[in-house]
Amino acid sequence: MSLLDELRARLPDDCIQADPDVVAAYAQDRALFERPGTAAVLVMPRDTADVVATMAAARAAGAPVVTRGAGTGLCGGANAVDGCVILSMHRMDRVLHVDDANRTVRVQPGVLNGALKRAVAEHGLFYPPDPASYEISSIGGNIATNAGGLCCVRYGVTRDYVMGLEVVLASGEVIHTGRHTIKSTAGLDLTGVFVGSEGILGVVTEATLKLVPLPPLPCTAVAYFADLPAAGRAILDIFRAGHEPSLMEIVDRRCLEQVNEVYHMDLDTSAACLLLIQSSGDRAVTAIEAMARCCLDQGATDVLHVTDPAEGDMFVEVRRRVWPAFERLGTAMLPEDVAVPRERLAELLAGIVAIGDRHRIDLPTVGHAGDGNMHPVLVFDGADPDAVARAEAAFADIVALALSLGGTIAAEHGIGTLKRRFLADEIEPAHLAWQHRVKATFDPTGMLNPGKAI
Amino acid sequence: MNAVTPSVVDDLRTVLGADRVRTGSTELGLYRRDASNIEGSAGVVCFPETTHEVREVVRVAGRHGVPFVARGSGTGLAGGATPIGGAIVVVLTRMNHVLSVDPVNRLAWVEPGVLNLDLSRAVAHLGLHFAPDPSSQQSCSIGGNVANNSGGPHCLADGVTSAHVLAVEVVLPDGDVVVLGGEGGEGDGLDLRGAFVGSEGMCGIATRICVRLTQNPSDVRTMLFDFDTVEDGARTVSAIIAAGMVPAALEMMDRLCVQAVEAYIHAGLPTEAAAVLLVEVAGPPHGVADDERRIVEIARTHRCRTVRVAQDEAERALLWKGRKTAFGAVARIKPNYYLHDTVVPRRALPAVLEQVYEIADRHGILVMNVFHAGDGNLHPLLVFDKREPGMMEKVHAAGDEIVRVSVAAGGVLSGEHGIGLEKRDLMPLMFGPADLAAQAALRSAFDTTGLANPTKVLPSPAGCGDSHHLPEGAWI
Repeated sequence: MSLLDELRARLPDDCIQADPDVVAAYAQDRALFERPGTAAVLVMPRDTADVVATMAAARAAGAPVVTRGAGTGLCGGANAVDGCVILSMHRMDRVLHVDDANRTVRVQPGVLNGALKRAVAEHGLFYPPDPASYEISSIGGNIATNAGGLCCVRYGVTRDYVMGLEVVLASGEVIHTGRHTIKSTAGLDLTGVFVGSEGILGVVTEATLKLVPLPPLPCTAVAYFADLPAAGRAILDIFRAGHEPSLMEIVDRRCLEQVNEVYHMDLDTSAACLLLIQSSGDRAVTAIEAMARCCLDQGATDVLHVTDPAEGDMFVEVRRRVWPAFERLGTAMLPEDVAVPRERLAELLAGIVAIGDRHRIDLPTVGHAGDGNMHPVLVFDGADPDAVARAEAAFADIVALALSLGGTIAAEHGIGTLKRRFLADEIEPAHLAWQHRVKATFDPTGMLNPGKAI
Repeated sequence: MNAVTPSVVDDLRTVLGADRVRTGSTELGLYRRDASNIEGSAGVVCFPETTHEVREVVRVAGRHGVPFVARGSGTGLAGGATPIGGAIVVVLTRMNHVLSVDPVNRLAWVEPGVLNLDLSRAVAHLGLHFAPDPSSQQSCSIGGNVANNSGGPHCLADGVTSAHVLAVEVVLPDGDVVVLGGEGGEGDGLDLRGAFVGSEGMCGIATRICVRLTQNPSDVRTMLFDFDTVEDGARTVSAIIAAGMVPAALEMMDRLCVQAVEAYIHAGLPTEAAAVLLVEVAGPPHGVADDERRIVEIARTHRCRTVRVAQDEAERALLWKGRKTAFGAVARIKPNYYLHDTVVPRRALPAVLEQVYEIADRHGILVMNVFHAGDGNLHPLLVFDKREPGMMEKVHAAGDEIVRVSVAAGGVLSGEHGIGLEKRDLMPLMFGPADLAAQAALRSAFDTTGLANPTKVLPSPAGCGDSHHLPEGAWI
């Protein structure tokens, strides 16, 4: 039987969509350089049993399966491969149970990060990971890419909040990993292997996530620096002094210019960068003052700190508006995702500016300064082949720069297909071969998201 | 699998030299068990000092098809480091150097034999410490902590070992050396660091470990509350957490335990109370004072009888001494004990505790409870005299029932001691056949040779004949 017949034999019609135009709309994520393959069919499961049925149909027809959350991925991890089933998890979007005594929540993978945050806030609880896409990205996708975000400097990444998973394997078996208690040492921890595995090992159909109490409202400081090394030194000083900022973001001059241009926010565009710092908790007021002093001591040209959360939020808004401000330019944009140890941050930023100049490409950078994770954004005219070539060259140079500074090439967006060719640069061959062995253990025929991640 | 032959010993001696490969009966006797009472048999004991030497030892094992077992300080309670069938015991205690400390990024690279408390002492001058603090922390090794994913009283706020391991250099069972994870916390590709932590020696041998260091709190407040019922104590625990606080530690002792401890340390503990709760909050002075006020209020709402706040460091140390010496104090009641380790959802604590008392009572065994209440991590301690006829069978049966009621309440088999041999055959209580098969598949992906600590953790379909023996004189 054909793939479509195999699916129809096992699933109701309203779970299956074969219209090529609709299927094509679900066949790619937001990775700009990555061309998706042509998917055969879209399946929209309602529950775990539908996912099991889809696996059975795909196995019978010998078709690959590509799982998709909300399609906000930036590396092509959810892009179709030729002849595949696109398994879109958007219907499985329920928050199943909030347990306030144990501070956990059980969810289906399709629930959006922002919706989850709001659901648990009603219980006085907080789900910290907050990729910039949190209003539109799904928990399943966050798990697949081990997504990070602005609060990760204080709270850690998605992995730190996934306690247990229900996973459908390629064989159709449904396994449960992890636990619902705070700790467990029983058996091998499969949960960690599935988090960040980008759909190549199985399909997550349910997750138990850890929650924390809602943090108190933060105090905020902003500091302008005339040069990048001064900002780098201030960041190091803050951590050396033992502070634990709840947010620490850096916005470079090019971003300041564009945000100012579009939103008229009266920013100092002569500065090399702006550092945004927040602190929450009982000591927030004194902590933010002390961190502001670190900035001044290291030569910040202008430092301001505020205790009013609404005022603080206006400053953070500068950071959030970077992407929309550049979108106004109406050209192609590709965000890069690299991380280096904190003490190499200034070098990374300066190097990125040089790369932009060298390749004559608009290359603003924003990033999570606290954990050394930077997002340079390649802004270029996607219709101009020469501009595209320069952007690709700049992209490769940024990757090489991050590696030469002892960093990583995929801090929170994942590998997908976009960075696959660079992976060998970062992982030793023996390790990589062995990662393939683990992949083969769970998916011996290679039917799950082939060609991705490793 | 083969046994250790003279040629295996010769090959090991070529790698390590004669004095670091031991076959004397004293050494073989010493290393045939860990802190559990499960006795195995060691074929040869060797003491490598570098990654290269560990790798060569593993290769010798592979060439001869002989199983090998990595061992840290041997404080494990579940038989994880017990050699079975004459295995090669690879003792890592000589790899005990703190290799580097990075105070800016708050991390350190250490060898596996570094003792847990030694690491915290080595970084104390920087105002940092290694957060996991099992009660055996004076003697247990970081490598052993990684193997068992160890916890401790302060893991309530800080998380267990896996939250503090950024990267591990591992000699895989086939002799390859890989680094899992990275200093940034996130390596690329599949995250096998998480799977390695807690794998009890089945996935290879850790030879260098990159750990996260945690800042010391600027202020600490330690409180002791006592209650007329265990239930009131347990509800206080839930209420503190539900109020949005995460104390640094939340420990509970029941009456029998308090009586034993008080007779031993004379700290003025309330021996007539049904339960005593030890709560510690840590952080900036202002926040700590505020937490203390709120916690006292919650305890009062739950009918706490008295409130005692440690007035100085000496009193704080005394209260903690009471908690940490509980097991030694037991010797005043009966000569033997069997320590259990299960976790239940916090909400289920009162009900499960009631069942634990009922089970012990029905079997005519004394039970003391001293445990990490905040985590829901129970440590029921069955106290007995094994010379009494039929006692061992009763202890065995009661222990088994306790594990079963914990799992039935949505809990897990082990919170921090691991599975090893002790609970291997109980794994099906918690995991279905597909779950166990997936774990076994992952194990085989790490260990294609089948020689790394075989027969542990995962039940073999045919191998359910090994009964789990009773550890005595154990740590917690």
